[in-house]
Amino acid sequence: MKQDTLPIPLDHVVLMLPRWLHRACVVTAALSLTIAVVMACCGSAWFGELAPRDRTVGTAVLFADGLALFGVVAGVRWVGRRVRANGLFEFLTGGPRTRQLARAATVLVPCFAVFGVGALLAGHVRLAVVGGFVNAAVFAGMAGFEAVIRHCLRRQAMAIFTLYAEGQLAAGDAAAIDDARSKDARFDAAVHEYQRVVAMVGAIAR
Amino acid sequence: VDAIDYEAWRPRLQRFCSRLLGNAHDAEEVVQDVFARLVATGDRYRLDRDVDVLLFRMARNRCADLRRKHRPESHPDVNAAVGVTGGTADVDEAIATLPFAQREVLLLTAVDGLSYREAAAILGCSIGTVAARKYAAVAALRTRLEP
Repeated sequence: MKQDTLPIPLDHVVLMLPRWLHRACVVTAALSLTIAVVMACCGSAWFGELAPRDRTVGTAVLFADGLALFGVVAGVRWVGRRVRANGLFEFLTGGPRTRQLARAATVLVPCFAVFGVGALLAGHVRLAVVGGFVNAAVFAGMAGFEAVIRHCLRRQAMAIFTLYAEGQLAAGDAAAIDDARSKDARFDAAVHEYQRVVAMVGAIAR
Repeated sequence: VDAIDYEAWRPRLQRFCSRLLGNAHDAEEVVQDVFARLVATGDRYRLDRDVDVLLFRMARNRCADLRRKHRPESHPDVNAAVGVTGGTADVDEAIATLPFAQREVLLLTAVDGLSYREAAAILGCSIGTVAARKYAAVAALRTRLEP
């Protein structure tokens, strides 16, 4: 294959997360925080039927939801702009570490749903909605959001791995990946395997 | 337009189109059509550089059009379509089974030896997309070529 005259900067390869998803997350997080603030300030007037302790718990949970979602969005913008060299192979193969957040969120969804149903059966309608179903929806959204992030990062990892295996990256970027590769025999084997298949394909041109 | 050596380009483009379409007859028509269009409208193009990008882009777009209009029947013997015999026949057959988007990336970069920037310009997408598709194509080929 013809080598590009200039190395390809990684910034030209990075695939950003869909903008609509960022916006949806920011709006959801802002909504959670706003409701939490409203509950804290006007709780007795708007949610009078809830016991003070339930209001406090609901406010705290919504506040935590909002902050967690903001944290995820900020983290993606900061870390997810580029797959780090030591996580490249992990994302490429969809390793278990890439699914931790989604798993935690997925476990919480049925917990909150059961809590909501329980509260509903006990006659606490608002607590069921706010404390149970809204939280279940928020965590389901977080799990879905994390799945989209994982998909985008895997595509990034595929692109970076390909450019690295074909020696198209700038020296600095390649050195970081070289270092990660030297510590992982599976990564090294995957690079050799990739190069072997590309060489087989290249042979049909001759 | 006169500067292009059509006879030198014809076999290269024809092999590319044959592998992309899996049909030698359609490939011949595509190449003929590309050259005819170039002669007719060549004044619109800057031919002092990137001739290969221009020719491959025209051929690729024509192949994509053809495939969209009436999906050409895959040739029962892709190797015969591109005139391949011997040890590389398996690879050619495996490439023919790849999705169109992966196949075109693989043919442009690994077979025809174009750079990623050139392939991205031909396909009208980013370098990252080209590289990611190539990875997917190679991964699929590896599975299919395993003994």
